[in-house]
Amino acid sequence: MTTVAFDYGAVTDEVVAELKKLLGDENVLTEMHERAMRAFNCAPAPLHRWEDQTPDVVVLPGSTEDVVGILKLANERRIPVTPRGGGSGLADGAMPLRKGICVDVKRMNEIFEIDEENSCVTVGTGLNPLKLNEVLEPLGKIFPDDLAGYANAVLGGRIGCGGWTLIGGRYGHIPDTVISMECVLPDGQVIWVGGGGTKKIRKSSSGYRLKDLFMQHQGTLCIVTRAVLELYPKPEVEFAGYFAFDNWDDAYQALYDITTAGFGTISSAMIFDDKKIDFLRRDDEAFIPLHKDVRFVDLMTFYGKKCEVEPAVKEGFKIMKARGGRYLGPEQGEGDWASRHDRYHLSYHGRTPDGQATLMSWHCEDTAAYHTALPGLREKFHEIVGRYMEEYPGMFDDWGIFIYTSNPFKGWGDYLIEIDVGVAELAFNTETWDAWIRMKKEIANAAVDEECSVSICHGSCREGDDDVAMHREMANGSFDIMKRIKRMIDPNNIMNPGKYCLDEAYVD
Amino acid sequence: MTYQLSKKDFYAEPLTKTKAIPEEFVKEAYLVFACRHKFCRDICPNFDLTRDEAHTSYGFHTSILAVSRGVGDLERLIDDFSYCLECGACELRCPNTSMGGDFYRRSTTTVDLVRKVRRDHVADGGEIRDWAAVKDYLDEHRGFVAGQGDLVTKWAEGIKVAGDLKTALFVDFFTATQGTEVPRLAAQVLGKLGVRFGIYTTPGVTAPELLSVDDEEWKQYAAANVANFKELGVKTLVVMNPHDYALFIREYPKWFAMDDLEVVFVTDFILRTMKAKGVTPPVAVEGRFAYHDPCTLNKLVVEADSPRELVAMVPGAEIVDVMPANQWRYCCGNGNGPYRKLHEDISYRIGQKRLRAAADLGVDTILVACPHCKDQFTDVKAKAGLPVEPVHVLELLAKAMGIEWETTSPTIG
Repeated sequence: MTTVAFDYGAVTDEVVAELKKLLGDENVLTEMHERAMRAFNCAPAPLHRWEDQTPDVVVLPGSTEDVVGILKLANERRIPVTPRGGGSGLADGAMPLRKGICVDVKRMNEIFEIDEENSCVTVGTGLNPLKLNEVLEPLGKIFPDDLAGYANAVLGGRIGCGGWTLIGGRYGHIPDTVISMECVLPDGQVIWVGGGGTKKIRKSSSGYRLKDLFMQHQGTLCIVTRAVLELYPKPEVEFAGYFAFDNWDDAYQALYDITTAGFGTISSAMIFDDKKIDFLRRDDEAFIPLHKDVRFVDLMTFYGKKCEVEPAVKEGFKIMKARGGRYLGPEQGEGDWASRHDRYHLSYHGRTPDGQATLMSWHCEDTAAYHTALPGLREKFHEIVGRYMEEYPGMFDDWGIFIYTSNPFKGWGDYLIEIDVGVAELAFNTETWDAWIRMKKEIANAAVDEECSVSICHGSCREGDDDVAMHREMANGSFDIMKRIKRMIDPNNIMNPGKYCLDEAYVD
Repeated sequence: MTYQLSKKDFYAEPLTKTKAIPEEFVKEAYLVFACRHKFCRDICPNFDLTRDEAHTSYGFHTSILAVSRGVGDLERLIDDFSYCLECGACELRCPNTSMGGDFYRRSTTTVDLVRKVRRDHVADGGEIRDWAAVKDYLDEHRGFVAGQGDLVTKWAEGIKVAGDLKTALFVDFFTATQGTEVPRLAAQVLGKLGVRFGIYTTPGVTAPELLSVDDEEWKQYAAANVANFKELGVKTLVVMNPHDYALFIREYPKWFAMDDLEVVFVTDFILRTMKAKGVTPPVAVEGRFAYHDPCTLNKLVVEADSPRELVAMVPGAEIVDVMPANQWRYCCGNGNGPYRKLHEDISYRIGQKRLRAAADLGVDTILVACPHCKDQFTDVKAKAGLPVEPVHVLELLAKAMGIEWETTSPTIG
């Protein structure tokens, strides 16, 4: 990786005073602990060098105009800026690698307009999808963003990482459900990007489709301040069915059968592999215990009108049973599906080599794969993590693999395959942190070796991932174009510098 | 009575500027940091308005973890910690509580944490910004206790009491001076139900604000209470103020054995008495009412059904709820400690939001079960001009029982 030195401006008392003048004293945070808690996101963090990525100042803008003022000031003085949403990301998009100004957008959480007739809603990007759906529920509408961080993510972060949703097979993912958005560029210019040039048109053939350029930018190009989002009718029926399998082959083929059957109502399908089932059995409080002969589990979910879901469920049962799947009953389905947003957090799920409970934080390495790559990647991922567990006893733990269908509006095509890794984060030091990065890098390389993608969901701008993603996966010329775009839009490299290896854009 | 034993012995060791954060405390802070779901954040009524996560359980725990790693200073945390309402929503919502609490004994105890940090800060020579109004309140409270006698029972003028304290009403300073209607109504309802009761006349200082700055003094008052209950033969203590009730349930058992004493919240006691005696309110009180759960009941002790059940017994009365889950209802903005005195503006805005939610239901009355909620809503209604009147559940019940009670309670203090 190329390291480039930049002559950044400092956050001086004068800068802080200007920010306070702009935003009010209460919206400019300078205390160390207030800044320190904005250093990390949801991924395992290098706690042993916490201060290195602690921003110099945190600002809480309340409007687009506030953001314009902040970026103009930062751009004039060449101060690094890192946008921060819910802090729920797993790719460190909001980690301020060059310190500077952290722009926490959570105050921009207004709902500006609910346009029921045209099925869209205009919101501030500090809004959380759960809060939005609480407002939409009485109208019989939903914004179908169903992610692990449903209760704490905000729209700005979702756009920043090009978010993926559990029910995207029916409703699409964030790149599909965001119709258009307002972006503030580093020089303070405010633009709207969408399918074409207007706010509520989904599909247009006018000009370049710039919405996609500013999707999953990870804060490296702009700060998104408003978005027009797709609204769907609230589904009349949600069905989640879990099926037990004795072996990998049957579970794998059943997933293929269910996702390629052509259901319009399928919203997700997934596999819990054997190590994942073992992991879930540790959760004495939260998970409905599974019988000991259950080794793999497939899940199918259908959302929609009763008249379409009911026959689809019947057909789905036939498909699962034809591959030897045993239905685990409504209690399993409703219980586990209902707890899908909060079941994996518990730090006491970690195990030492002798099986004792120990504090570990959870991390999942998400990769995108096509169907035929799944068996090999599953074995490879377990092998990689197992090797590091042996080499660093008590530091890492294999928490199993999930495989999800991950295509917008259909079941077939790509899959998200993630291996969940328990990490003894409190014990990180330079050596074990480096080992963690090497492990991540091996997983990323294994995906790219199979012509798959480093990430489908979290983003690939995290240490260990970015190098593989930019220099291998995107080496077909895509990274070169990214660098040219970055340098054109952000000539001073103030926007989230250090991410996506984009410092290289400034090497002449 | 459900005892919630969340006592963490390592809280006894003071956090000071000069010593490293104890290892158990680091682990405690890490458990919330490592969760990262941050359910505690978006459930927090204060965060809902300020949108500053430094004011949340996640923020508090992460700050301490950062300090333990040399990033930040302990004495600088205190301002952010003052934004805690001490309502308990984050504790209940935390997966460490809901999933690991029973099994691993690792419930999240944000309210205890905030009080401890404040206490240790004061003990370490620190000051708390804008504490003067809280200090005045505590001094007034101490003066009231010192005066005792007539002052404590002035609210009860004209109320017939038993000669013994087998069943005793516990009326604290705030309720005896600013929420007098509650004990008066309770006493009259109990009288109508034929319950013999006395009034406990030495309640001591029970304010959570005192626990926040001087737990030794607070414990002295508590110890005196426990000794007095025993000496006076109190078997059942009927508590008027849910803030006190939460203290009896959550704090007293940490320090004192109270096996011979039953502590009951007033609406629980009335409800069970009515059920036992087969009494139903005879007078119809037609109306649709909003009901506001006190955080001390629905979050801190998770016993919140009796006020609703009492209203359901009243012919013609109907509760219209804002949402299906009782636990997640919004705070009134008063908080369960010094919050309202420290952050008057945000407190008002929280109350305004809650009252507006009631107004949106199309009702003109919001029933409450806590004198602090009523006091807060009364102020908010006047200031915001919202057309929703706060009324204590016992007032509705008294009407339904055919009790003609004095609308103007004696004013004290």
